[in-house]
Amino acid sequence: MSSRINIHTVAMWMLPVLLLAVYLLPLAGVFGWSVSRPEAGLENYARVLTDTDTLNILWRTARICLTVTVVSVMLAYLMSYHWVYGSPARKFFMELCIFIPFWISVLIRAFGWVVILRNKGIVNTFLLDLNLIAEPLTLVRTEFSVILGMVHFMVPFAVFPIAASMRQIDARVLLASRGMGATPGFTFWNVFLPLTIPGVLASAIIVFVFALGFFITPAILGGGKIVMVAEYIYIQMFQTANWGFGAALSIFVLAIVGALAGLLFKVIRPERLVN
Amino acid sequence: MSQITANNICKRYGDFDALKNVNMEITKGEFLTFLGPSGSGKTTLLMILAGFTVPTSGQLIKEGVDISAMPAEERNFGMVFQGYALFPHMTVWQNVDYPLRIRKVDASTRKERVGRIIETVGLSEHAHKKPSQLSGGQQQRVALARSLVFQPDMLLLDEPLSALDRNLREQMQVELKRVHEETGTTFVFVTHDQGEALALSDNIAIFNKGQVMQLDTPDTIYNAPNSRFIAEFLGKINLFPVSDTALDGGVLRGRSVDGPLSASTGNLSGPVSAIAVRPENMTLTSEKVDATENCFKAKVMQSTYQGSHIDLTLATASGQAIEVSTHSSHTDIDPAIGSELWVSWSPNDSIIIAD
Ligand SMILES: Nc1ncnc2c1ncn2[C@@H]1O[C@H](COP(=O)(O)OP(=O)(O)OP(=O)(O)O)[C@@H](O)[C@H]1O
Ligand SMILES: [Mg+2]
Repeated sequence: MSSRINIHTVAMWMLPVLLLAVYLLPLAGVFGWSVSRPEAGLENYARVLTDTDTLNILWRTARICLTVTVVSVMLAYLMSYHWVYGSPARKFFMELCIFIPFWISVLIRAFGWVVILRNKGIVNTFLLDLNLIAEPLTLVRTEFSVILGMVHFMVPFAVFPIAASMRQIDARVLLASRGMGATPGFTFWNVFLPLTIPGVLASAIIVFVFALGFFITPAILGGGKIVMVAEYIYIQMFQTANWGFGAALSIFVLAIVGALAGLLFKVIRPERLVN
Repeated sequence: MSQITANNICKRYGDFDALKNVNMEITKGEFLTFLGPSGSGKTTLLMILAGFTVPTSGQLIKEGVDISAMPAEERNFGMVFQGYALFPHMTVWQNVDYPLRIRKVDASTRKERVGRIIETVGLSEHAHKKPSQLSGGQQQRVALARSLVFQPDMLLLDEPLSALDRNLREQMQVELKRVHEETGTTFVFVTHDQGEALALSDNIAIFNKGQVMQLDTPDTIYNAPNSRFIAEFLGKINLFPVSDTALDGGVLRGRSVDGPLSASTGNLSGPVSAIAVRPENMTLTSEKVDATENCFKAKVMQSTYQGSHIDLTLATASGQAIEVSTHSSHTDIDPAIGSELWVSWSPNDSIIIAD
């Protein structure tokens, strides 16, 4: 009996201790840097909010993240619909589309897009051969290629909360709407969409937060030209050794992520999406 | 006046017949109930009436036109689903307003009609609440209000009361009956509950294995069931197989193992396999009554006091168990277990079973 309690106690304390050791302590360290390097004070935070280069990068990051979020959620909504309500064959096809990307590394997927989009890539060769264009289009190292790569990565993640909220809809509610004479469009805007809004919001916040921290895909598909905040922090830390400024930027992004996560839990009550 | 006529409706799922040659006339303004065992096809026929399911064969005729392929949204029928299917993100008011918004009714008319129907079902104080904040009975009323507010040609109800507890159910039965009378709408009502069916209906259709076995008034179904299935399905009944039957001037006589039986015949035709009698139509006496038929001795096996009456199980000489229900105020008998009593009934109370 007593040994069981011990095991339970140990197991119970394991998580908080791990959290403290691998997460909170380093975080405290980063925060420490941000207010102490190169000298004590809030200098670094002031720079985050005033430096033109930094603001440009933050603005670009916000713009890319929002675009990625809107596009991913809309694609995920369509895919979820077919996954939940499609014929068995279509369901299976959707499952392939959703699950196979999880088995392919993000690195390989990013390079895959480079192969497709580069000047001598599949798309340009095809268009040149058809004489639709005279010069190859610049497709990699653009905001477009970064957004494409990120959407491709994010859509499967965006599907799950939306599909869960669609599964929760009582089919009889939709029948009832039809029975009262509603057209499919009327039912969609007045019943189906409002009932899936919690899933859409959850999905949007997940995608946005993920996108904010994206590193590999923008680095490869942006090729140093389209720098987003995560890569910018990396540069500050490991290339220009601006430890304090990098740390302040990290804390700034973390605060935004924290606020969004708080919103997620408050507005959507994620426990409702689970069952 | 027939509002809808079903002609030879069949519904097949794979090689399973959910409905087999259903014929039925639904009269304008009537309260028609579908009653039958689980899986007998009640919901299937209701869904065909609603337009959510298309029959495999057969027609649904409305004013001379076959509407069996007409989609639900064009039929203007109201429907109350099992579980009510209220819109969880809308208030009571918005739920009831929904069908009027679909019909693009103008705002002031909508306000007036929604207000009136919500008052009819007694929910005025709850109009701003969401369905999740309502009790089962209140949700049921919202569903009823929502399906009546657009003045449908017919209201289809699939076991609307089955989720309610007994007291509330009885209260809602009275309410349903009142709303039916007030609106004059045709009600087609599915239930598992025999008492409910007998209490509410103008007509009852009894379903079994995808067929309508009998469609008649409650009184006819209870007192003149057309088959053994109906007799045994609805209420309690004692069945005595008979042989050597003979018709003799409006009276049918036959022999059962426990003695000679007789039944007054209406318009009898065809063979007879049994004579049956309801428990409440049997009389118990301590001495033999002055009769040669429908009268024999039986031993009390079990007795259950029910307040207004006593339910007794007795065994005849041949060992057949019979059920008798007798008034508690009956004093001349001693229903103690093991005692022997005489059971008798009038030939007018005999029910003739053909199959
Ligand atoms: N979509 C379907 N696919 C296959 N079989 C079905 C389908 N819908 C109904 N059935 C079958 O048809 C039969 C009749 O079903 P129905 O729902 O009409 O029964 P019911 O009389 O309403 O029963 P209950 O009282 O249990 O609601 C059942 O055996 C059922 O399994
Ligand atoms: Mg049913």
